[in-house]
Amino acid sequence: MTEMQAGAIYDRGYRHYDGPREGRSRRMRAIVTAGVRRCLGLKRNWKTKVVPFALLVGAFGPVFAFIGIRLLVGESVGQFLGYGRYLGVVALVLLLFAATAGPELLCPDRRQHVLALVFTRPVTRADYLAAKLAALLLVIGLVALVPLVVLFVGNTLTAPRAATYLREHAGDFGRILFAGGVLTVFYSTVSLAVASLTERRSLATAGLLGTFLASTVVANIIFFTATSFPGRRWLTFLALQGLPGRFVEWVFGTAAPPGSMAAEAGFTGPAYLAALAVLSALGLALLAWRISRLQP
Amino acid sequence: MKGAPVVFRFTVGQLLAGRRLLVTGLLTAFPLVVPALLAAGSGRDPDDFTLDLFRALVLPVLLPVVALTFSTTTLGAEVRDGTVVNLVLKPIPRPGILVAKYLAAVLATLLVLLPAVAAAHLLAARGLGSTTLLSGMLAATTVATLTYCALGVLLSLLFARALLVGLAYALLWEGALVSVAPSASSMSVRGYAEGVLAAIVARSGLDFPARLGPLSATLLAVVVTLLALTLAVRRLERMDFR
Amino acid sequence: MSQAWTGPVVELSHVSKWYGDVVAVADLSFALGSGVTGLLGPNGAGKTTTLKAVTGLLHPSQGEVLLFGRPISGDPMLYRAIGVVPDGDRLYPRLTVRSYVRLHAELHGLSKPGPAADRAIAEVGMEALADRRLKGLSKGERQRTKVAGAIVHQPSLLVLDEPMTGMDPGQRARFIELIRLIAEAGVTVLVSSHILGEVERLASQILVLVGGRLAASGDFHAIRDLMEDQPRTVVVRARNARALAPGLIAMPTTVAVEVDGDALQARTRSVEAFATELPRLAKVQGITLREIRTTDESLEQVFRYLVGRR
Repeated sequence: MTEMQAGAIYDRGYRHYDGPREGRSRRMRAIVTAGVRRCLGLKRNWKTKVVPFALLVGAFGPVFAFIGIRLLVGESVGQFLGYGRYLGVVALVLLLFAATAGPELLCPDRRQHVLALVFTRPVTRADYLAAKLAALLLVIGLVALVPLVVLFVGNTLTAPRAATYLREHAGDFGRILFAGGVLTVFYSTVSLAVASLTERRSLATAGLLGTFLASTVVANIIFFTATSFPGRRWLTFLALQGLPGRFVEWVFGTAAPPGSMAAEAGFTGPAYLAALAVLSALGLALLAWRISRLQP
Repeated sequence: MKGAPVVFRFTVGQLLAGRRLLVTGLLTAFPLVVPALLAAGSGRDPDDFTLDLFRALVLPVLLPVVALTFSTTTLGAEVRDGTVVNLVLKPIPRPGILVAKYLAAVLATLLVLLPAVAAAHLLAARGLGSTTLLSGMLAATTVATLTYCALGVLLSLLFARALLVGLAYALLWEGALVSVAPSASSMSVRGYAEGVLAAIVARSGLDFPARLGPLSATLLAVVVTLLALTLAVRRLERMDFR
Repeated sequence: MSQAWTGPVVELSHVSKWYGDVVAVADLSFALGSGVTGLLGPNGAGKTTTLKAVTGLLHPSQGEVLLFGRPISGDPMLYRAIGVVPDGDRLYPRLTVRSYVRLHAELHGLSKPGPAADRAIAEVGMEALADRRLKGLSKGERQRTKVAGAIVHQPSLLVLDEPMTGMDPGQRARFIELIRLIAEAGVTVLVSSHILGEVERLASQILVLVGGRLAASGDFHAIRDLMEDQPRTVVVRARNARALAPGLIAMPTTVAVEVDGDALQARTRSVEAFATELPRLAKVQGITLREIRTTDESLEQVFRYLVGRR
């Protein structure tokens, strides 16, 4: 038993923090981590996980299923949907993910008046923007890049001679990264830009989905209706949900379905890349402007 | 039940507050009116075009988005932020409150959609055009609105992100269904609306394959709507409010 | 309808509410009559849960809630006689005071909602601000508006959940006055609070909730009397107070005696015994007693005792 001292007062109350203070990267990393967690519903109840996980299953499921079948049955199964085609299919999942995750990152901070907490810490507006963008890039990249990388790896490992496959298809891997990267940037910037316009998540989501889908439909309808409309080939750039599809087709060397608006418009692939780049840049500009005007 | 009409009036005011009606109406009408104007000068058969526009844009995208946005906020938002107790602590039966809120969402949606659809039709036809088509589209819009709004209200009482779940259903499920399993049209609100439309329009010679006959389409729409509303009422009655 | 009922206005029998493994309130049974009843308890004791059960905002896991002798569950017509001021904001920010109160009047189906609203607004003293939007009001003004909305239909029972949180002392004093006036008009009032001073001034009866259970109920002086193992403090002033001390400390019920000049402070387990013995001692000693009073009648004493007892 320890000897009791004559008397002592223990100072257990509030005290100044004297320890090391970490820097800017740590702060930004905190915002990024929190953002990723929120979008994927990690560390929260099951209800917030439903939507993201359903979408993840939609994106990864077929890939894993295919690899599994390949392992069991062997190469006779043949090629899965080509990487390009798969990316085109996954584009709708990407849109849904972007339409939900982007607003999730920006809107609740405004709605719940948390911004005052954030901006009274040494976090600049630019840091905030960069961190939120990074979080969304990570989350969307998860859907745009990872399934295809997994598919590629799966194909390589289940090929009769992995090394040959790798050498022959190395270009494919590069294309996967390039296409996936561009789509990730595009969907992330546009989603955040629209999300920065409103405090209400549902409005931002509905707006994004409505705009992407409606513009695509309208562009198609006008294209095939107003056949004498001058410059109608430019309508193909109005079909927002079609832009990623066309771009991916170019990257992987497949052609647009014959008779579709894109085939008849006859623009080359780089034009679509340019369109995506322009929209991303506009989105980024809008986002930067809105964040600079945020009132905590 | 004197209070229920008050709930209805008040909710309509909340949903369409400020310039919301104008802005939503214009945003919805825009992608319909512009193509219609272009089609009017193009020589394409206006009825054919309008039908296409309706089936490609209104039913799959515009209608569900507007209907679900209104119907998931009409009651769900108030339950979430606690203001619903202002209505619950009154001598108004909870089913009455629910129906009033539902009808308010239906009215708001119709106020946005019906003029937009009518405008597109009139502009494309440069006049009255085929009144059969017009009435068919308006009827189909109403049927789909009634059903989507019922689903939206139910979803808003069950999920925090009801709008998302509803949109995922309308865009993914109903969209995928159209291409993959036509026989499952009986599980799609869009299918009911198309059934109604096809039946009305068949008389005028415009023709498109709808997988549901008018009777089954209407019946299914009614059943789904009533079922959704009943489940929503039960949930509201058993709910503990925060 | 409510006029015909002569029994308790609010009656709870063995009401419990649990969420999974967490018990919010357990086995509550009490009956309220007219006047103001204060529902006390530390934070997390279950006051809001109890009030929500009383007002039908939640369904008890067990037990029954009767208002005016009828179960509140599934009977919205009872709300004609009940007014509720719930916790939290729950206001529509863009409405004005007048339109908010009028909305309540219309929801109640009053035939003349406008005059009723004006009357309620006047009763809470908000006439000057009647056309101001709710989002521009201070906390006290918002609470008073909520009260106006809750009394516009002249209910017989008024339930308030921590209505004075966030109010400054001036606002609190005015609010207490308002509630008192309402109670004097014959309305049964049930108000929850953790601010003892206010409840003391307002309520004639109290219900004390600790850890989800009812720890005490009734008039708080009576409760104090029941707290036998807590000695009471009595202060006596007399010229030669010290001479009384030996006689007092000799009593078996006396715990301690302190003397300072002409003031004697004694702690005794039985005020009754003390009050009987003191005059006898004084007479025998020929001492004139100038002042006798008990000093710790406060609700805080009662409260701390009950909370500490668990």
